[in-house]
Amino acid sequence: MHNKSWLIITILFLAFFIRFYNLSSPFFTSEEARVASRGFIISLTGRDELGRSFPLLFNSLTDYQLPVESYLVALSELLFGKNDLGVRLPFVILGCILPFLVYKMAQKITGQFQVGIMTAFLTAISPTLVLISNIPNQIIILLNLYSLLFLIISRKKINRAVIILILFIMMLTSKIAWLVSLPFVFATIYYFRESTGLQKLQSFGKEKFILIFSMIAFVIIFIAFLRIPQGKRSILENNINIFSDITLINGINQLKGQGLDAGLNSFLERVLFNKIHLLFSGFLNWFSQLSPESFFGSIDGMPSGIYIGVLIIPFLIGIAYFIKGNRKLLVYPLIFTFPAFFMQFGKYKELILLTIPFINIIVAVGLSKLGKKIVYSILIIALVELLVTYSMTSFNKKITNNDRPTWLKQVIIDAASEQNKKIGISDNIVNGDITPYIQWFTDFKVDNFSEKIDFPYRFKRYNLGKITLLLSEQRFTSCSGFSDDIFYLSKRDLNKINEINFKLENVYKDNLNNEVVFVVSNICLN
Amino acid sequence: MFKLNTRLVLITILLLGCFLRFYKLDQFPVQLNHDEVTQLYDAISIAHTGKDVYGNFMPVIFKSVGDYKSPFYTYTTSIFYRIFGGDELTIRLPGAIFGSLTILAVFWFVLSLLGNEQSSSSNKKIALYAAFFTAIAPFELFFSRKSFENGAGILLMLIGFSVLLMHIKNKLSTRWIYLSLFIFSIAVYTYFSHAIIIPLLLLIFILIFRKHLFPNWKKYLWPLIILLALYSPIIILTITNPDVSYRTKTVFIKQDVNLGELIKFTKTGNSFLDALFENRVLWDFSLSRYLSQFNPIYLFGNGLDLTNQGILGAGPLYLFQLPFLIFGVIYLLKQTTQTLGAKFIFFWIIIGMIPSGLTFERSSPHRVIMVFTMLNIVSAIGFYFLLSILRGFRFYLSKLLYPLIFIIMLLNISFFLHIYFINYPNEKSQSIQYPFEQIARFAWEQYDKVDTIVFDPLYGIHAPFIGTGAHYYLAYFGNYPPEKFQKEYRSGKGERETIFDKFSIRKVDWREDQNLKNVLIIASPWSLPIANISKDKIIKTFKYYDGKKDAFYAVKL
Repeated sequence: MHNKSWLIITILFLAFFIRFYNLSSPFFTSEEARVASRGFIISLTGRDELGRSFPLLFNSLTDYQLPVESYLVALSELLFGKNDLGVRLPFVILGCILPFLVYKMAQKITGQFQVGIMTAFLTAISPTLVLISNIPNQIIILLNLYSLLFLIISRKKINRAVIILILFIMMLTSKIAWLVSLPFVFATIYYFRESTGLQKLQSFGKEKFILIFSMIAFVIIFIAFLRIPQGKRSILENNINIFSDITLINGINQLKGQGLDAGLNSFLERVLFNKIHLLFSGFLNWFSQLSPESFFGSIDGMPSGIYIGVLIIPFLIGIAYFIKGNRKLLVYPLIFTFPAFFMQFGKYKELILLTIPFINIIVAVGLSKLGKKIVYSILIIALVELLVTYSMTSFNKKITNNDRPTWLKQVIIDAASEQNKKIGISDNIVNGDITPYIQWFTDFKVDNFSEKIDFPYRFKRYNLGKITLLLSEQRFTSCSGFSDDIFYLSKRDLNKINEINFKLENVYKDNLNNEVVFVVSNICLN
Repeated sequence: MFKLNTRLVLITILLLGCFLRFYKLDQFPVQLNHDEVTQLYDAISIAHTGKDVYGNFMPVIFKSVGDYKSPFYTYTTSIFYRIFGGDELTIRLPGAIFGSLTILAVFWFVLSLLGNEQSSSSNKKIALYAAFFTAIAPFELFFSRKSFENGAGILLMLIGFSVLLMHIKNKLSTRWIYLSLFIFSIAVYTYFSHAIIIPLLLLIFILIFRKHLFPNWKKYLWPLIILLALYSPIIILTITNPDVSYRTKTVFIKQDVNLGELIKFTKTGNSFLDALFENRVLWDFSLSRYLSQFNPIYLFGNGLDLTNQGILGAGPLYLFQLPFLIFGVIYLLKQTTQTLGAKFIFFWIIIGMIPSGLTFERSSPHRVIMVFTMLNIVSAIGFYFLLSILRGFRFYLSKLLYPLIFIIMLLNISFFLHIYFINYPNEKSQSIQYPFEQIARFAWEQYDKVDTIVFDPLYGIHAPFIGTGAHYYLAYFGNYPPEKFQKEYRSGKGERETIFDKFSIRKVDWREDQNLKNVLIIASPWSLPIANISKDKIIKTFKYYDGKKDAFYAVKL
């Protein structure tokens, strides 16, 4: 085999090794656990956790979930069972395919093998990509689909059926794809389609067909989504929530009011302070997704960013190269982060992550412009940074203590193993919803769910067989007779039973060594 | 069409800049902030006695309120005091004058940096645009009007580098080198971060322009030695003075509470790993903070922190400059004639942001004004580039776009002026220490009626905050003789107590203080159980600027 092929195979093997080596890590967040447990339930019964048969829209605590991710997990769990391998393997595989797709993309864009290999290498070792290759999520699916779409569209021969299929899967993967796909397809046809350009778009060729299909697909899916119960609400709350940003609207009114109080002309005040500010804010929010801190600085309060810090040097050189010469590539990060235009202020990690293949190409080009000694120095520093990051396991557990509560598994296993007892668990033991964890770590069975909800939106379930979730309004009392009930209480609920004579059976600590769960008996629900 | 005379346009821009800086300068900002009042009273003290308020003779660093200020601005103010007297305007005049002169300095700097030929009309246009943006820039107006000492440093840096560039490009005599280095040596005394940034920038300048400098490197030796000699006092003081070291430590990024928490998480019990992990976290955190200064929301949205309404505020630059800035970067990278100048601009921006990345505050625009100045210049380049593109458009389209750009700029400028003059004092009453002036004046009105005046500067709208420089406010607004203040001022026995004359600035503990006799207590609701105090004892209520919430009460016992 050719040396070049060996090199790419080595990188793919490295990608697989990094992802597979520590397969059971990281611990799931609540929403990831929801997909994991749902996948198993579907694979067993063909129904989701709420008892609905093969639904197209799933429930989560934040929004409706589109189906691709859940069915992918279901398929894998059907083959491998209810375990880490079953949940994570599809994403590990997608994570390993991505370096290859990105390698091809980089070659297509720059025409340089060296850049392609470097891009594949960066994609293989990127800590963030490794992370999203080990958990159920939509982004790794989208990354693969967009890379594939890019490669197919930019080829000489276009297979319309494949493109339509990819677009169809994308639209059923994430709502991000609804907004992003059309400009993505347009930009790829316009900039990277071989021997085409605007002329081709003007005639009714395959390119125009794809564009029209993307547009029609978007319109159909959008209208269909709006017609379902809570569809509008879902869009307004999660995708174009800048228009319902009360703080922003209050701010406009407050500043305008101060002007009026100062005796300024009301017409002037209306001209200066009005809802056009929402657009300016959206514009700034969109651009802020692409500020260097998004890639090299902290995100979600985590200390380390998507990239290793030292790679900012080749990144800047790469950016300068693309600005000087071929600026086409720079359009993609703008396209992928565009949905932030309609959203409230904040960093949207899922949007930023979609730009990674393109940012990797920029970094790789930057590296290719540097001298060998500098490249080696940068790579050595990057490697050291990476090793140090990976070796900070205890640190990582502590900073993800709230979102990835590794300590919770034991609590739930112990609770579920209580024989012939009714169990109550405080619903605020963890951030988010504890239900998916209970479903995942116990042998949860889909019962005939009494509430028939076709389109559950932000639906929270409180009764899980012998386990009952305790809400904040729940009150306790001392038992008049013997009670078998056992309660896993948070501090909130423990404070409620100060006056009652209870028996403390056990205490669990979190990763920060704080006492978080108190196992209590000898009390009854009021 | 007619050709505009460059000088005439520049003078017009300068007049506009002066108008925006001097218009109602005594009224806006609405009150002297603690930086202004401390520098003003120290300047008065220097002018009268040659000593600062703590009795230090001709200090190189002013202790002030424990923030150890660089000396340049205070000494300059003392000269202004000698000329104009002790009016409040005195402290603001130097800032407004330096700010106005910066308009000319930017014009000259851009011409020197970009100009292969001084007469090139495109360079003159770019320089004029840069001067115009400097004249109207939010950060320039904000810092010039509040008399921030960093402004003088920027002015001197621009002049210093312009002189150096003139020397290189026009092959002028070595005297220009001496002149530029002399200017730099003054500039390092204007602001602490300049003591580090200016030498770094000089080094970068030498590296970039090495081909012009190295053939005759021997003639630069003496100027460099002289420069080092002039730098040495501030460098030695920074290293050896424990107070200055303490001040440096207190503003260092490690003071950040979030970073402190993260560092705690790195502890493993192994000293080597602890140090390794701690430095890893520190590096990530600093880099993150440094890079966050380039966030468009900060630069164009709310970076000056003039309101409490999130994004709705004012950034150091106008939002309309964002596209110009992008065009400017593209132009600088694509052009081939001024590559050295472009490199210097980029390094200036990269290095200039460092201080903000190393300090505990999430953002500190006052530390990186030099970067904003350069971003202004880049946006002026972009503006020129954009206009040259528009000229290529069809007639009707360009006729449509010019007025549109003009209207957008006008609206954006009006929005900033509204935020600055109307909203800022209302929204940030507390951070400008309003109503400390009224309190000081009232305290002096009551001076003869009581034995002691106790002032507790703990106050705040949403959370308690200790206002600094209360003794400066009291001394300055009471026209208190500095020589007397130097003798009288001392620490007291009470919690955070300082004393001079009849004034005791300290924590008020009502359980004990309610028993005092013939005393005026001025304190906020955070210190006084106002519901339990008889109304006839409350002789005055001080409100925040918006006139709605009570800030302090004067209670006579």
